[in-house]
Amino acid sequence: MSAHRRGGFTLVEVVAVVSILARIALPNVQEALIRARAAAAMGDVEVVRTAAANYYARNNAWPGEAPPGVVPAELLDDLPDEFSFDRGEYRLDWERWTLPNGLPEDTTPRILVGVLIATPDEMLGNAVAALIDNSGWYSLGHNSTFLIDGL
Amino acid sequence: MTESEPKPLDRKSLSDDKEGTRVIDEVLRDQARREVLRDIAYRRPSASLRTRVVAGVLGLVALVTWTLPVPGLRPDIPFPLPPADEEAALRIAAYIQAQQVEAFRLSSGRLPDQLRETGEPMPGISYQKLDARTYSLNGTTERTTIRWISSDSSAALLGKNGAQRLRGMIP
Repeated sequence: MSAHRRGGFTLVEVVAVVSILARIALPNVQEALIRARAAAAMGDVEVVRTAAANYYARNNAWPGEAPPGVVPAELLDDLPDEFSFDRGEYRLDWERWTLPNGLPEDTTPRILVGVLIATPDEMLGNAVAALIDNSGWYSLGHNSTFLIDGL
Repeated sequence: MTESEPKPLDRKSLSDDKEGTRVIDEVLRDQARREVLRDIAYRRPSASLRTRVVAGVLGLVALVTWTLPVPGLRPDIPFPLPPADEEAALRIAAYIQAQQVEAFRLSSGRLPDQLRETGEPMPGISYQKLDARTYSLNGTTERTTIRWISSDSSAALLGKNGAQRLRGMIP
């Protein structure tokens, strides 16, 4: 019986083909991960929205402004334990804006509150913007802001 | 029995030196033939030129796809908003920023020298103090740019689209 090998693939060929296939599949995997992160960010916004509503119900006032990535001290009791505003790929920013002149057609002073998702990752920012509906938010660059209330 | 196999030992001729030498030669030649055959049977097949070229090309393609930014091999999530919505968002951000400047002016009696004095600046909005009572705000995104001077009306800053959106955003 002859021991000569006929046909088949060399190890180098198999490794190269598997590597190329993996590289082709990688963008889809990365995109799925980014969209999952965006969904997680949206979930975080809902958690903050609920906590803020609970705080307002008790105090008839909104929590004060806090720096990006920092949980407002007033919300600590209403948020889940260990809840963080700094998630690595994105940061939450509690916004409390005073509008002394109100809106153009109604100059009554207002307070706007909202949550901003800030990320340096353009893809993640776009994925967040793609997830949200057409009201109650605006998106600039990689940042999306969700208005919670405007008194 | 084949020709290549050694002839059987002829005991009668063992005493003959020539016959002895012939037998030894025959055995040695047979041994050499067997070694050659064994070498051929177990020799590792050498890769043909075609196999080497295919492996080389595949390896090169794999290397390129992993090391160079090949179009189509990056995740692609485009910005989903049309330009009109992006401009409306920019105007809303500038409007809120202008109100923060106004709130600062009311509380401190002067315009801020830098936007950071009013709190965390809105993304994409820059501020320039023109004189003691006037300032300008510039909003920039990749596709849109706006500029507003505080002597203009705030309604002009928001624009129709921005005002409509802001009204819709406030619960």
